[in-house]
Amino acid sequence: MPSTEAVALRGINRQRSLATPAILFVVLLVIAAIRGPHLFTSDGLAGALIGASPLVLATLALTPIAIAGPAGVDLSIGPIMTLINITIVLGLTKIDLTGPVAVFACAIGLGVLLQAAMGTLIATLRISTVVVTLAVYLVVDGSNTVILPHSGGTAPAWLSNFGSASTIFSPILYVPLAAFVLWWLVSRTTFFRNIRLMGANDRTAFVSGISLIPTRIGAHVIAGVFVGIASVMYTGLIGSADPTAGAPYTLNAVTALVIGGASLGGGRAKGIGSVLGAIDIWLISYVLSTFNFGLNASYWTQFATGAVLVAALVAGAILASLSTTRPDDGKWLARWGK
Amino acid sequence: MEATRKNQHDNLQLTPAKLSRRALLQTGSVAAAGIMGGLVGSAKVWAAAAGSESVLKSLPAEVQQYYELATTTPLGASVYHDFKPKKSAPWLIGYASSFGGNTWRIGARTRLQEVLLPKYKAAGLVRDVITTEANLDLPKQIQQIRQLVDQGCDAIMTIGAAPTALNGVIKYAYDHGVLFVAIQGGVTSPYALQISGNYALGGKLQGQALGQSMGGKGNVLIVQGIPQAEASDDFRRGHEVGLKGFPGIKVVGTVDGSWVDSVAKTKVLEFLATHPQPLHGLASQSPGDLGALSALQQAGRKIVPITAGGEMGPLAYWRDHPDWLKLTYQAWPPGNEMEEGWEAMLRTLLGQGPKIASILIGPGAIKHSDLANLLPAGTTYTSNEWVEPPYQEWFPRKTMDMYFERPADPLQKKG
Repeated sequence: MPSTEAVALRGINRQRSLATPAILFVVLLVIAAIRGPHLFTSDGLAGALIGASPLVLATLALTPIAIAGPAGVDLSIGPIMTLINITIVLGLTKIDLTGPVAVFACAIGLGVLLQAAMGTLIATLRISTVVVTLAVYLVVDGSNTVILPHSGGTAPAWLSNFGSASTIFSPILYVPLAAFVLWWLVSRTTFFRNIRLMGANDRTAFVSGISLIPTRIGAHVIAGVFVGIASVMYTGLIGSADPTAGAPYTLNAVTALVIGGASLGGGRAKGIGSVLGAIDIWLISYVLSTFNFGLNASYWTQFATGAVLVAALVAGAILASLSTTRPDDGKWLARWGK
Repeated sequence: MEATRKNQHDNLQLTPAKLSRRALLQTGSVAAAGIMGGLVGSAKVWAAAAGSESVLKSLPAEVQQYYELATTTPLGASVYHDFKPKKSAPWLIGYASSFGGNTWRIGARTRLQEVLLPKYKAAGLVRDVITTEANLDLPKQIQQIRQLVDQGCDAIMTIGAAPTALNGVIKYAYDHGVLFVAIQGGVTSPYALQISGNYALGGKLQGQALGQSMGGKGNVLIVQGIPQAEASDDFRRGHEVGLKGFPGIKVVGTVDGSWVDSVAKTKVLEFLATHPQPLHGLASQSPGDLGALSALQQAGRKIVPITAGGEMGPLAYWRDHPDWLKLTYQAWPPGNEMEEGWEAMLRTLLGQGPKIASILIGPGAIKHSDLANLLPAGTTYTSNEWVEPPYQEWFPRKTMDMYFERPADPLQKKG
């Protein structure tokens, strides 16, 4: 029977990748409480929800692809969110399908379709995820500008109201909550465990009877569902269609994924880590906006964002090395306890 | 500059006689405007008109001409006609810029921080300015604007990253009693007070001047700014309209200069390397003129006419080569554009009542004889600073007064 220390250590190890985003989250939250207490009002939380939701959901979408590994970084997410945004605002409006069911069905359907196509290419032709998604990034980004030369249109009224919401008790809360419940359910399925095993070691997964091609495609399909929901929230945020504004989500979501403790080698990433990482990115921006950097605001903001990220990643690496260089589980923890 | 702005209408084919005819044709509208003028004291009338029907014809004819080619700009009555700030002066101002990485933005920010803020602080009208910049990240700019509202700003000035995407947060600001001013224009929301140059009109006049400098024939390369930005599209549209008046001129290509000289230079060099045909003119957007000039120099090509729109380098070249251009126009001197936005904001905070949702001003002509006064000694072909005419020549107080219901010098009246 394992000692209580060993059990505790396994718990710590299990949550090790969450330490960095969780600590950063607490620190940023404390600074936000001091510098911008309005965040904790109904208005402030509504702003945080609508502002952070697209990034949180986009990072969640990247998570199954990162878990499936190897080097499972989806670079296409920004332009794909943009394409779905354009489809909602221009396409659905044109055929007068603007109700919530139609919008969510179209967004999720398009997200799943594009991700399934990429997953098929990656799985069947064994091309690197980065290469395929970069190619799709370029194709979709270019197409977006051709379809919509410059921003315009108006999102359906129920959706564009997201952007001026003043209370959290509205769809800007319910939609992300539903997405989290969906993630919780999916991540507990056998299929999701197969994705994890494939990401950790695809040979072991194969000899265990896991069919790799459908599993990898399945990881992309799950991602597609969350890309679709993220795109709806993003459309609610900007209330219109914009051919380029979604592109920064690629870099921000990948950064959030890494802060959230995902291993880009595959096999290891947690939904809660991705959510925390994305909230951290949003909080960094929030906290920095409470400082008045004056004439050189953009340079100081960039510098401070980069510095916080580097500090967070270094802290994460130190935490990881501390726990992997222990002599052995029980004795290490026992000594540490004394 | 005001004198040259009046003269520019000769180039617009709007001679004084034609202007008079236009005024006569507008008699009916003016009469209607007169009736409306008797009613403007009623907040209800303005509230009903706000954001919908154009009130352009109720403005003096002298400023109506600045709205030529304006398409997406809201022309309804300003929702801030009867605006009263939540607090009395001194006010806290937010400045949410979409990015800060080119010479235009630096010029605008410098005027704000080093001239306007100290002057209005001393007058007891402004407490401080909180500046945010989003590095062209639209969701970040939305978050920053919302945060400025929540931080208690009384008014927010912004240069938006997109024309429609800020509409939700602009409405949020309005609903919270915060004055929202879009300098450099470019938003479609009726809940913003917009003020800027008319860039489409500026582009048209620049295109006409370029055509004249080219002798009315030849190949032109268009160097646009950031394609999705409203101002960039306006300039490009104006350039095309202006050049259409010259049947002998052919547009042979368009490149994106991104309003950064180094980018414009690279893109023009790429075009020159892949298009060996002769080029006779460049319709460029500042900042980008300097990059275009530099590309021609580096490629060893003939220095053909360029729409020199405000950066000192190309104007210095013109100073030394008088036959290079016949005329050019400046549509957006950065410091003056910041100051006109600032003044409109302060006037609205002081209850002067803007009449129209979008305040536009026409471009200013630059003749070769002006250069001696506009360019400081020692200006070289590589100078990337902007020519700034004195503010009261660029946007005279009496012209600004025409856009307000209860006009007064903002520095003479303390809230």
